[in-house]
Amino acid sequence: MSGRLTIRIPGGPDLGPQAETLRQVTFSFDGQPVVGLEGEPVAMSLWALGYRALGWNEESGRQRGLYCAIGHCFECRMTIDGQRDQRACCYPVREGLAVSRQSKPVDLEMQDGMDQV
Amino acid sequence: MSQTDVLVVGAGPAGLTAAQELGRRGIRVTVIDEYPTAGGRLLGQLYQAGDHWWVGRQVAEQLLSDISGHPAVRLRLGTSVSGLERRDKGWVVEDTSGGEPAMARAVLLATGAAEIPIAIPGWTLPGVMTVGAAQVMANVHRVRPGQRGVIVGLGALSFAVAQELRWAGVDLAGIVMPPPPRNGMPGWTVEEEWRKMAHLAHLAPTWMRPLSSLLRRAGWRRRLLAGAPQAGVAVAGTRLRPNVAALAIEGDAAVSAVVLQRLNGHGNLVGEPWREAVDFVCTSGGLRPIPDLAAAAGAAMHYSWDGRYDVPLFGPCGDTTVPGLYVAGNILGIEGAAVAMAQGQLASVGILRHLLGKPDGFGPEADQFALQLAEARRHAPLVFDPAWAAIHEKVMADFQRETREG
Repeated sequence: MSGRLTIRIPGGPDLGPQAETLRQVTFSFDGQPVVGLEGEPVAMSLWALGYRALGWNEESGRQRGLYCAIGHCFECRMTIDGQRDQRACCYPVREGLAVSRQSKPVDLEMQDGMDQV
Repeated sequence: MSQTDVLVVGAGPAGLTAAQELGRRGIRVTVIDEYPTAGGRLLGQLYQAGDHWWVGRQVAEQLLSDISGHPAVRLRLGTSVSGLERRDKGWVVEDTSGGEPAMARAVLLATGAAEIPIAIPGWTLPGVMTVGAAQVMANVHRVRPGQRGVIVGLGALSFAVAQELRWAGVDLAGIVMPPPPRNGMPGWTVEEEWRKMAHLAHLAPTWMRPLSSLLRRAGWRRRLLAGAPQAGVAVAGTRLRPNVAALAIEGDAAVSAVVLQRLNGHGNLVGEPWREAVDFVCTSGGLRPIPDLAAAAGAAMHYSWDGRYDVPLFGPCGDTTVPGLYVAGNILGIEGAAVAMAQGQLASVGILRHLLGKPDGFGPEADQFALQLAEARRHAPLVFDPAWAAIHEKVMADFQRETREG
């Protein structure tokens, strides 16, 4: 929780809602309970907690995180509320939401005669 | 199937302005946007324009408050359009909500722009983001992208976001250049990046503005920029480092450093590279329109070799070559929010003409909005890319020819 104090920005009324004005909610990240602010995108809650890697690229296996923050690039795709490939940058946090990182897509399993997927 | 008169794709300045104009005349409008909050890029905009402040969030709130007075306008946020098909002189629009498709008599595409990546080694590491993403983090969600970062590239957003990050208490190692292209790749060169500086110089501190005319001359530009101190010159709350290029981004699970090297007056790398510790990197490669839905719907297009100038052919009131399909905002080219709002007003006239079957109606409104568009352009705080003016001229001439022949 110490990260929240340094990462959340205080300040005037010209920006988005201040952290103090939003309700804290508990959701799960890879099965662990974590705290975010109601209505902010999942990726923002996770970033504020210090989690930057949101998944692994299906092909290279390398870690990926938030890149465009407005739903264009799909780099922050996660499994949210039971659905794969949801964009964490656009998905609002709510109480009890289940969020997990994903790697290989389920529909690209190795078939006979293939040496890679 | 749900029925509406007009379906607007994109709840940014163009889409919301058009929805407001149509809604106040009682036209049924549905605005779809994939972001959970309406406002588009307005939400993060915060800068000084002349003697006043442009606070995008307040502009968005005003538009939404106006719209809330028109019960015929509905917003559907957190929803992406997944299909667009012309049927019976109208449009069938599918979306990701899982509900049944919507039937609309006209569609306005106000899909805006996307950021162009700068793909240097390490650019996919968590902690590398577009400069617009940093703006969304800091200004919209009030989350710092990191403790100390660097901006790579001299896009129009570089100075604005550098200043905003400074206000947010984030330290920056400065604004540095992308590396020169290898293997004679066409397109980007350091020279081109420096030329942009001449168009951005009016945003710099007052003492630097006289340099603008010198920066427009190639010889002086080289001398001035190559001669700048390696630590850069103070601009927009950070340091502009025109003769330093970012070669690579390093880190294990996330960004930990950027590798930099000096550029000479010809834009070539010289000397030994060095590392500077950063925990995030913003790439500022510029913006390009998102015209995909227009192309998919069959609108005649103008294409460019690298895609960054791909736009639908369009007429004075946002008409495309497809009846009932309209466009407004950055889908037509990269300009500021005030221009997008005027384009939204103009498109509302085109749509009214279509809905009411009066192709020459609403003349005074069209003239007034065209004047507002010209005003918005004249007072634009910055020219994102001077190439757009000529492209617009060509695209609008092509539109006239296509529709005359068609």
